[in-house]
Formats: sequence, structure tokens, C-alpha cells
Amino acid sequence: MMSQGNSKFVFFMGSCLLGLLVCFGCDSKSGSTDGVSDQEHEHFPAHWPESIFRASQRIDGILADPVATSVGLETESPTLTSVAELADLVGWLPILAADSDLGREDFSRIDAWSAQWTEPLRKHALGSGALAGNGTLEGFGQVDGLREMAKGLSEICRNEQARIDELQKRYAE
Amino acid sequence: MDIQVLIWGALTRMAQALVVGSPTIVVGWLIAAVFERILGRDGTYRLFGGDTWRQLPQAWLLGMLLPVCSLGVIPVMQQMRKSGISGGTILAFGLTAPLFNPISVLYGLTLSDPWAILAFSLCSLVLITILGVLWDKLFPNSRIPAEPLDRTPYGLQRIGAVGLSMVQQAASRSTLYMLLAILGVGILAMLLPAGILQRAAGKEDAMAPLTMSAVATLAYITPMTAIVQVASMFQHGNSVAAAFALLTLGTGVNLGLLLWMIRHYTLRRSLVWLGCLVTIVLVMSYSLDRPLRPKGIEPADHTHAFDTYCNPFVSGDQNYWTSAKRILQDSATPAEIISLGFVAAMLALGGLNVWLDPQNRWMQWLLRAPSVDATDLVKRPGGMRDIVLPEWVIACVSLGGLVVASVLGCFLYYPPVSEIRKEMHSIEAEMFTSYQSGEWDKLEYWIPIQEDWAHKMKVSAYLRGKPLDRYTDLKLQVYKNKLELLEHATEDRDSKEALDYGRQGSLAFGRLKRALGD
Repeated sequence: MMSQGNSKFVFFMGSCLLGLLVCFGCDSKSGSTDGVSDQEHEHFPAHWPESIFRASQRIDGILADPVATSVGLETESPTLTSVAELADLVGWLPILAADSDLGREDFSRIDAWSAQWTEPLRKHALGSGALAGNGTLEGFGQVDGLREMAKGLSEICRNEQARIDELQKRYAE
Repeated sequence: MDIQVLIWGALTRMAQALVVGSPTIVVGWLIAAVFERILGRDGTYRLFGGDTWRQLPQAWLLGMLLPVCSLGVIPVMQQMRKSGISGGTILAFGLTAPLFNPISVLYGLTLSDPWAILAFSLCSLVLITILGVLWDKLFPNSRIPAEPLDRTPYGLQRIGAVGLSMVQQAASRSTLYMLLAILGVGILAMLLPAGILQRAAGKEDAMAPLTMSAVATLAYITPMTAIVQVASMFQHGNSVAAAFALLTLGTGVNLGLLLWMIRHYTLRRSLVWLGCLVTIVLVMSYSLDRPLRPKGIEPADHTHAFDTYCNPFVSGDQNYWTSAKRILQDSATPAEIISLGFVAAMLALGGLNVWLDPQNRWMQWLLRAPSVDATDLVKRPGGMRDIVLPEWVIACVSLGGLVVASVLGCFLYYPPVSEIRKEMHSIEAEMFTSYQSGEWDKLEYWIPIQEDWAHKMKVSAYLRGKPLDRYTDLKLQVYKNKLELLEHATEDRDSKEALDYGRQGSLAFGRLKRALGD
């Protein structure tokens, strides 16, 4: 049988629980509204590019701007450096490519680029770029390789856009 | 404080817990009956490693394999105690058995990082080993001598005895503890207003594991629900530490189990055990958080994974009865409804048994058949074909059969990808008309079902040895993201967003089908 001490404890815990319930229990008005109504969509960060085409343009923009590779560039997100934004963009390329009509071959190329460049860019963004305080690609050492990637990506996007335009034209006819 | 919200909310959540727990409650009664009537006291004692060092790892392994939840484990623990097993081993089994089962482990393997589930399993082994060793050191006299038990004869009597034992388990004090555990769910629903936990597991929230530990100790979660919630936490980039705390304390501990401990091991010992458990879980949670944090996932600002612990109603809701019925209908699967019927039947039979046979004469009659010496049978013509199987063979077949059944159950629970694709196609068609015309109720019904199928698709491919390639996997991921956006738009009743995300979802589904070879 339950000892007397245990019975007292169960009674004590039960009373505490009841007390808590009476004092703080389920203020459903505030609870529900706090939780649900202000879910204003923060699903995407400010520099999320919407599509693979926008991502490609933005990568081109960052790499083409001489300021980005030397003294820093104002990014689309006020809290990000250009290298950190570039790292994010390159990291998101596979999911953006999957959210398009690109075929397996183009997807695989993009996925491989992302796997190759995301970590070095992230490390650079956290390391020298962060230390320098301006987050540039200075000292990255592989900017030419990145430009090659951006060129390849632009070409894929251009071809895909041309295909879509052609389809739309045919559909309009 | 709206008293109607409190009462209806608590009753709804308690009914939900009973429905989802019913399959594993039945399994718990069956295992307890097998322990009692087939393995016997000595066999059960030996199954858990006796007095050797193997008792804790064996308890962990058996706990991982047997498909019970933290309700169904209570009658099993009761049988283990009666068999003279040490308190440390019983509590180790009681804690791990509800954590995982083959179906939930499979689901867990499709997390963004499958190592997470492996790390969680190994941490549970370390946890129960530390706790078990600590318990047996601190309280060496926690075991009771094995209760004497008549040997069960072979044949139909043995089957009858197992069936009757199940009925007796249903009418035993264990059921009272199960009901108390379900009461804990009701209390939690009374304490937590709707949606209050939506921001309780943020990736950078240092308090998240503490919050989750406090909530999870009272909550009752089935292994499958827990792993789905953990998967959702990974997918949304929530706190990994909170996920581990939820999995361990949410599935392993509940109010009924704590009261069972207090009843059998005294309050002081139970508090020491609970204190050690929570401390170790928190230490492990914080240690796992950084290494297992999924990379490249943008943390969501909120999650709906824990809505089921909170009150489902808000002040001003109309017609609680209809809403409660709908919540139950939406969440119950056919297997759970059948099991619930079985639970009800067992409880009724148990009640009848207590009323009509308080002296336990039916069981005594079943046990009265004389034991036959196997050598006598060999001498009889055709005796070699009428083999009396020893208890350990029957026990291995029964317990092994349960494990095999749950593995085979995986193939039913996760049908082939082609079938899942067909199901998803039909649901997508339903959703298409719903988002076009803003039928919010329909969308709220279909989106979670579609999300569930999307998760199952990945597991099914994995289970059948043909995992989705990265191209298809990411197409599936994109579709799941679109579904989630549509879900939020539906909650906000935002027609424009719902239409936009609905169309994006349909497009993503078309691409997924093409990637699958449609």
C-alpha cells in the first residue's frame, strides 16, 4: 500500500497543480491570439531570391561589382555582408533548381557547384571576411573559379528562360 | 478563464491520447500476459539478464524492439517487478521501450541527418545505463522476491491462460495508472492555452530544452508521434536540444508512470530518479544541440508540432462537442479505432472477470491440466509429431513474432511509392478545388494528410532499398515546403496567399511526379 508520506505527497502535488490551474490556467484569449495571429510570414530571409533566375542574377551582381571583391558591398539584407549573402545564395541553389523545370543534368551541375562552393564561402564569411568587418571576397583566392560557376549558372538559366519563352510563344499562338 | 474551454479542451486531449495509445496498450497487455503465462517468473528474470552485467543493455535492446508506449509499458513493468528484476533494470526498460520501435526508427532515419536518430538511440542507451547503475548502487534493495506462480500447462489451456491473463491485466491496477497518465494529458491541456508552445523551441532559445522538459514530463506521446514531431523540429530548424528532451521525457515519462514509481519505490527514490533523469537529459540535450544542428535550414519562426499538448479551443468557440468530435475523427486512424474497440472489449471482459470470478477460479481451472513429460509423448504412436514446445520456444516465437510483425507492419504503414503517388494525386486534386474556392475546412483536413504521405514516400523508398535520388528528394522537399506555406495561408484565411501557394504546390507536385517517372 502507498505509505502515509506518499499519500501526503500526492495530495500536496494535487493541491499545487490545482492552485496553479486556478491562478494561471488556460487564459485562452491571450494564448491563442499570441500564438496564431502574428505568424506573419517570416518563412524566408530577406535575401531569399524567389527563383533560380534571381539567384543567378544576384550572384552575377555580387561577383561583377568590383566593390564586392575588394571593399565590400551593400547587400539586400542590411545585416549581411556580401560574402555571407553569396554563401547563402550558393547554398540555396539546389533547392531553387528543384523548384524549377530544370532537368536532371542541369540540376546535377548546379548541385555539384553548390556542394563545392558553399562551405569555403561560409568559412570565408565567418573567418577573414568577418574579421575584416566588411565581408569582402578579398583573400578568398578562388574568385576565378566562382566566376566560372556563375557563368555556367547564367548559361543554364538563359537556356531555360529561352525554353520557357518559346513555350509561352507557342501557347499564345 | 473560460471553464468550458478548460473542460472541453482537457476531455478532447484525453480522448485523443486514449485513441492514439490504444494499439500499444493492447500490445502492452499481450507482452505482460506472455511474460506471466509463458515465460513465467524465472524466464522473465533470465530474459532481462538475471543478475549479470547484461541486464541493462538487454533491457535497452528489448525496449527498442518491442512496440509499446509509456502506457502499455506499465503492465509489463508490473510483471517484471513480480519476477524479481532489479528496479534499475525495470526503470531502464520502462524508459526505453516507449522511445523507439521499428516503424518510428525508420521514420527517424529520413531526418535531414540520419545520424541524429542514431545519436539519439545511443544517448538513450548511455542514459539508461547511467540511471540503472546509479539506481542499483543507491538503492540496492529495490527488488522484491519473485512471486510464486503456477506453471502453465501446454496446449489450449496455455492459449486460454494467456487470453485470460490479458483480460486480468486490463482489469488490474496498471490500468488505473494508465488512466492517471491520460489525466496528466488533460491537466496539461488545461495549463497550456492554444498555440502557446508555437515559439517554445527556437533554435537559439537557450530555455527551449527546459521548457520542453517541463511540458514533456506530463505529456503522453506515442513513439510514432514523437518521431514525427522530432522530424518536424529538424525540418523547421528548431532546437535539437529541445527535440531530444521531448523524445526522451515525452515518450518515456508520464504522470501514471511517476505515480507507479512512487507507489512501488517510495517518493524519495522516485524523486531522486526523476531528478537524475532530467539532469542527464538536459546535459545530453545541450551537448547534442550544436553537433546535430541541421545545416542549411532556415529556422522557422514558429512550429505547430506541439499544438497537440495545448488546449485545442479558445474562448468564444462555439459548439465544443462538434469541434471535439471533428478533432478526434481527424486524428484517429482505422487501426487505432479497431484497437480502441479491442481495449473497450478487454476492459469490459476484465470487469466481468473481477465481478464473476473474484476467487480466480477460471485461471486455476486452466492451470489444472497435468503437465506431460515430453518423453511420454515420444513413446506414443505419432508422438514425435505432437511435440510439446518448451516455454522458451513459445516465448521467443511470441515476442519475436511481435518484433517481426512490427517490421512487417512497416511495409503496410509505408506502402510502395507508386501507391503513395496515386494517393497524393487524388488528394492534390481535392486540394486544388479547395484552394481555388477557399474551402478552408477541406484544406485543413487534406493538408496534414498530404504532408504525412509526403513523409511516407521518402521512408517507403528507403525501406524498399531504392532511396529517392537527390533530384527527386529535393523535388519532394520543395513540395513539402509549398504545402507548409499553404497550411499557414489556410490558418490565416488569406485567400490570395492560399491561391498563390496552392498553385505553386500543384506545380511542384507535377514536377515531383515527373521526377518519379510519371
